[in-house]
Amino acid sequence: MEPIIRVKNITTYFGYHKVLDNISIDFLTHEIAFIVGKSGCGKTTLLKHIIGLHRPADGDIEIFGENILAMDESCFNSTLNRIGVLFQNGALFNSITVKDNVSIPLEQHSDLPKRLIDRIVHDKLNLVGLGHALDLYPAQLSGGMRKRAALARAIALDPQILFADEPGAGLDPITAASIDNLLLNLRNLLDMTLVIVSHEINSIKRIADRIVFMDEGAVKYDGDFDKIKDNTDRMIKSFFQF
Amino acid sequence: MTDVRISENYIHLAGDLVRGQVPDLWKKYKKEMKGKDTAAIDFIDLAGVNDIDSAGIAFIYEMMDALSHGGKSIQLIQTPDRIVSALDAFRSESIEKKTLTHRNSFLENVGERTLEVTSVLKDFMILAADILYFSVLNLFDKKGQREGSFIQQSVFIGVSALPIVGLISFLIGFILALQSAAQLRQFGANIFVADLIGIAMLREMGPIMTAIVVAGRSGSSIASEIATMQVTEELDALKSMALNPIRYVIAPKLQGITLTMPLLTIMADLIGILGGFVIGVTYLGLSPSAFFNELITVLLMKDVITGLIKSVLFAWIIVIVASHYGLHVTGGAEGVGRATTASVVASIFMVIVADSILGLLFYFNEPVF
Repeated sequence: MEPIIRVKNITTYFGYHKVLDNISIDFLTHEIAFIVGKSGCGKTTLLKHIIGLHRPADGDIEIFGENILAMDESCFNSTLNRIGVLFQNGALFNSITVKDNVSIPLEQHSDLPKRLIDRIVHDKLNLVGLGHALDLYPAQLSGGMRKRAALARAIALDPQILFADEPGAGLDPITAASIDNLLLNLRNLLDMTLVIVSHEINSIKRIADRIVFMDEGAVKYDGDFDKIKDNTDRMIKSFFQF
Repeated sequence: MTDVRISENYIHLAGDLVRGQVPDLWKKYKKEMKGKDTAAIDFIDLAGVNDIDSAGIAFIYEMMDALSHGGKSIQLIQTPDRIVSALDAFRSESIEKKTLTHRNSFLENVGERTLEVTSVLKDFMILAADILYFSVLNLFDKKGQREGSFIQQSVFIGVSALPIVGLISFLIGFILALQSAAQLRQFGANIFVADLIGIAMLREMGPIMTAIVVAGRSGSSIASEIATMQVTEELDALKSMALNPIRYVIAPKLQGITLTMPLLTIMADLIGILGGFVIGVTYLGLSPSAFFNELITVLLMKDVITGLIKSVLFAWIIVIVASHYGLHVTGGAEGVGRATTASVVASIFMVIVADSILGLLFYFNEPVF
């Protein structure tokens, strides 16, 4: 199967410190891939490189078969419109309502009439179980609701790829499980590819098709979750508590 | 029994390397090492270690750091499994410590600092150019900006600042007139209080006091808002939605302040003059008509216009400096506070520097209006 995202020999530094060391990963269409590893191993940094928020010192990143590092701004923006990002803390804009937060991508990147935008926003919020929270402000939402609202915004433009940074972080196990189920349903419903950064073992067990394990900026394991049990690396064993 | 023993190129550790034992162990180690060649040690044997805590781990890493020199590293051998995981838990601390030991030479420090300053200046200039560019672009292309944000910003920066700017300007005009009144009286030059207040308010005090109030009030708010958005990844979220944060968040602020600062300055000029007028009429015994006749005679259009040019430039400085500090925030909530404070100090400083430069320019090159 042709990869939908191809990370080729990415190396990057923060100052003199190498944070990503010659990373190469292919993400396949329709899969749910988890990038895992202990805190500070470079997971979120890798994610931010893939979505173009950081530029690597070396290497290439291809999304939908095109190198995003060689794209001009308009081409890159069209690529961004085909992906969605769920940030760790939701990154909702606090001064506007949930409905307005979800409308932003639709208002900015489509010429849809307001009436249709409102309907799409309503549908997306219903999909994540927040149909009743349209007019609430982010500060009025619980942690789980905020994640759901941010998810609704991330899928507003029906992205082909959804990136999620620690979707279950800071949530109780029940809410975290419901977010996982939601992600799984969305993948099936919207036919998306999911790339999730996480260190929540329960989430990984529940929905991961594939695992990329990182340690000190390098990939230590890339493959099925079932097979990782056979891996003898001490860090991996200790991470998954095998 | 807890013990440290040195034989040939080995240090043998045994027993419980815990907080209660480590001080004695440390003394014994120092005693044992006295007169011995540290370079001769290659291994630390942990076979006899039963238990370890953070004090024991610090002891081991301290020995390793002290004995590793000239590129040689000390090997830990026969380490029991449970001790390995404890040592691993503190491994990063040891690595960080090693990197900290590298000291730059004086010239390296000067070079590094110069590069840093150059890079900050370059970033600042690029940011300024981007903000100005998108502020103009937003006038013609409504995409990429939030509906109503220009009006919202104008109200926040301009309308909400009216009472405080008004009050401060009145007091400045009042005090200026009061302080000069006694001197002018001695020469029978009471009427010139109108000249003094008019020129001082229009050319200097109006624009600069308005800028200082706006820098403290709106500049700090802009810096903290942008810094918070940066810390909470809201700006990253905008970028991921193919929206330019400068265009979406900052440009409306520049547009709002560009419209409202000159208006605030005009109001500050008028209210400041009113403050001087109160002193002129009540303390110096001038008639209202004499005060205003003198004022109209002495004031030129160029005084008004130079004041307004200054106010627009100050407005831009406030927004650009606040945005710069907001966008470059590091370190979470504490960083937001630091960025806000630094932004206010820097913008007031830059406003005063810009005022001096403009003052010189307008003094030596009389503008033709």
